[in-house]
Amino acid sequence: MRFAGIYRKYLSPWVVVAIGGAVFVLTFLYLGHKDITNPYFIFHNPVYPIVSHTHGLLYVVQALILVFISITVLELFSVYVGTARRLFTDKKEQEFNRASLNRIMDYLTKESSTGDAKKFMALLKSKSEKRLFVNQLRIIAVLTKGKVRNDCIVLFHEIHFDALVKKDLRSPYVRDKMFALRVAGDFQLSELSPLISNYIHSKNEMIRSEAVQAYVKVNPDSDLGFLATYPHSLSLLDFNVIVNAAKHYRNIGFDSLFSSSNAVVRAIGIRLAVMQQKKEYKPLVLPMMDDETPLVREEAYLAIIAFADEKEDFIALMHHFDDMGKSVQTKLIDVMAQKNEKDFVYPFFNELILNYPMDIKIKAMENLIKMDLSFAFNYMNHENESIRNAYKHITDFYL
Amino acid sequence: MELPLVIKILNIFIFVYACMLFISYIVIALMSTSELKKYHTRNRLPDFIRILSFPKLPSISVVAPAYNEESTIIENINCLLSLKYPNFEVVIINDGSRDGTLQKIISYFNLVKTDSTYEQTLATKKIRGIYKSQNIAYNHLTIIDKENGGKADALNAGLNYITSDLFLAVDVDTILEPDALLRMVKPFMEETKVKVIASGGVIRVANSCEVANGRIVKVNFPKNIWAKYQTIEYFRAFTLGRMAWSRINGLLIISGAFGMFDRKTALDAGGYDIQTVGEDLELVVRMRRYMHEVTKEKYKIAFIPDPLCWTEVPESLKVLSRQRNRWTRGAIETIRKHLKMAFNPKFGRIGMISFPYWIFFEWLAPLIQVVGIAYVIVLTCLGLVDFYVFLIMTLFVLTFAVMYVFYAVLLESIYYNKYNNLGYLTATLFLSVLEVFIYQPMNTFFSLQGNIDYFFRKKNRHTWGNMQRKGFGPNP
Repeated sequence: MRFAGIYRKYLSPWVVVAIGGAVFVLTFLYLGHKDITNPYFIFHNPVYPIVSHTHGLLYVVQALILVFISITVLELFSVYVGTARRLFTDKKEQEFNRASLNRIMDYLTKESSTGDAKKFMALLKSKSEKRLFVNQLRIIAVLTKGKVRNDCIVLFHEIHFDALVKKDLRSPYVRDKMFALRVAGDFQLSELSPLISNYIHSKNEMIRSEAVQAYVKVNPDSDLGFLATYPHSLSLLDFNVIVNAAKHYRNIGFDSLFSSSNAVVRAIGIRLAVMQQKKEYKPLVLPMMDDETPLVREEAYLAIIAFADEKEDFIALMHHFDDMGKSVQTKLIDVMAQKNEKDFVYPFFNELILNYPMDIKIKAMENLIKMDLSFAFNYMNHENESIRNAYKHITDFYL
Repeated sequence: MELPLVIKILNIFIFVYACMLFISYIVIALMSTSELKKYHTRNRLPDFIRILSFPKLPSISVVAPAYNEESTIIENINCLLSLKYPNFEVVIINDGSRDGTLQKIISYFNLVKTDSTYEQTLATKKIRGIYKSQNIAYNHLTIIDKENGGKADALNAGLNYITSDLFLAVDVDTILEPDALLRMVKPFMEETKVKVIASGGVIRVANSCEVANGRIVKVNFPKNIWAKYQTIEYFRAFTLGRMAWSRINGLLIISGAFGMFDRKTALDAGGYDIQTVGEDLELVVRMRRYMHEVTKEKYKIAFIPDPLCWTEVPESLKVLSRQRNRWTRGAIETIRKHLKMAFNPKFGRIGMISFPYWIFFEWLAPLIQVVGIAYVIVLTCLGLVDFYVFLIMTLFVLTFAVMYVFYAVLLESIYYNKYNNLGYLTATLFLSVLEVFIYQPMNTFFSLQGNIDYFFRKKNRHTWGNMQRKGFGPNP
């Protein structure tokens, strides 16, 4: 039973594979022996009478059959042990999650005190319970804003879970490090910034990505300069997390981000500049519409669309129209329509209606007609069927 | 007795083939274990919900063909509409249904026919109308009504209409987990070095599960014996097989019931082939070929092992045989169409590993198996092979097969444990043993029939057959 308990605790597919491998080796070493002896016991090989008459390939096949049967029995035992463990832990986790969520909600909705926080600590005995609790709290903190989020962060600090996070950051296991980095970032544990920085160049891509995200989150006063010279690739996921985290940061060094050799970093810089309405960076962003990376170009288009206030800006955007994605194209059309500059908007929209795919035709026509109703009659009876169809589409009440 | 040379050569061929097959299964099992562990480490913290707040997300269209789905269409559409994702639409293509499918949808969702117009990039059967709802709550629902042209044709009609970055091709009667889109989109956003052009997901068996409001509320082991066998088979195929291929970026198939694709790449590759009955396999192979031959860009096809999609599997032998027959014919069509990829280093691992594997160990395996078994039986009867040797070889194959299936069940119980009742577990394990004796030989037979139908009954080559389904819930 004790063995079953230990096995249950450490059960994983690799344990089964390792034991299977050991069975494989031992079978081939000892199958051909009549007795297996050591100083403590003598084991009489029950299959020796069968295998002793066979040699060569048949012996190997018989040995493998024994190995397969042994592994199958091990798997059978493991499936029951693993399922029993899951049934037990899943039920326990569900009950714990329900109870801890209720307590957290009570804490957040009532007048709280340090005494309340200490009551939590008394309930959380094991490491797994602490982890579950921290995760619950973290998710609430991530999904909320203002006082509720601040109260979650205060509660986290009052329960002194930073020690657990620090320990996990130093753990040799990837899953512990990932957990610690995520918690440190979401609770903005800036005191752990030096430890986190050790992982932003980790060889493990998962840890590296998580560390970069956490490092940005725990350094709200940072100029994000470390990103400008960051040598590793960043993903669209990293882009989103970093932009969400840094959108209210006041000290961002946009110049260094724009000049980074990392395309995602340049894109992050552009997006943050737009979010913080840094129009003064328009001259730096304009040339990035010719960047080699599609992501940077798209961000540059969106930025110039947001910052555009002169005719030259729109003309520059019009030159890049064919390179834009559909959503950017439609956004540009909407913004240009608001300007209502007849001399360049009308000819451009007309060009789109005549020569571009249907969805662009429709968008341009819709806006053009809003600006000047006289165009409606031209398109209603146009010789080009696709233009007449586009007109029918935009005059459909239900679309 | 000295064996004739021909028999010696055949013996060596069968021996080498069997060794390669068993070794490949062991390698697949080990690779899939590694990939599953890596996936679970990466996605251990349940934070898919944070994706909802991301400022830059790919737009997604859920594209679902529907044909004679009157009994469950409303519930199915409601299930799709309630998926969690900030920027998505649902496009249902009514593929010339002969029952009241379209009328039911129009009535329930308050739809009107519009003059919506768009580019028909891919040729399809005639579009009879585009319907949108007058109710703003269903703003992101579109119904395309068209003449009947088959599943591939319907999907192409959907592809023509949508303008999103990605599309999720599903069967309209599948049940998706609410966070399916959030999980499926993650590989497209996580990758830094290569372009992700598609991601596939695991299909789970929904037979006998409790369904309410278009969601699985309780997972039950199927009551029907054939559905039970298919549950075990799906464990093996998805948890072991596809995870392993995904690890080396060698996945050749994404299930037609549940797969997410980069829209532009799928369109540029030519959309779905309406001439094949295995349109899901053929599209993935063609997209891969397109990336190698035309764009020459580094790319990847991902696979998500989480149980996100539940579908009804055939409960009668007749329907099951039609399905497996069609899968075999679809595989043959794809292999023949793209045969130049086999052993072609220009296609990297796909050409040198995946495609040859598919030919020799997926397509030809049932044929070689049947011939091999018949051959050994004949030799034994003729006294050219010792009966004891025959028994040992048979026992070898059977013990390996049972060990392999048990391993798949073990991985499922450790990582997902959806069948978390010890009674179900016992049934699963017992049937895993019987599966080797009953279900697998049957499948081999259906596959053989598929080969015969393809090569000798040419009029049956492109037919789907009647795939009857019971559906999940009562009429709304």
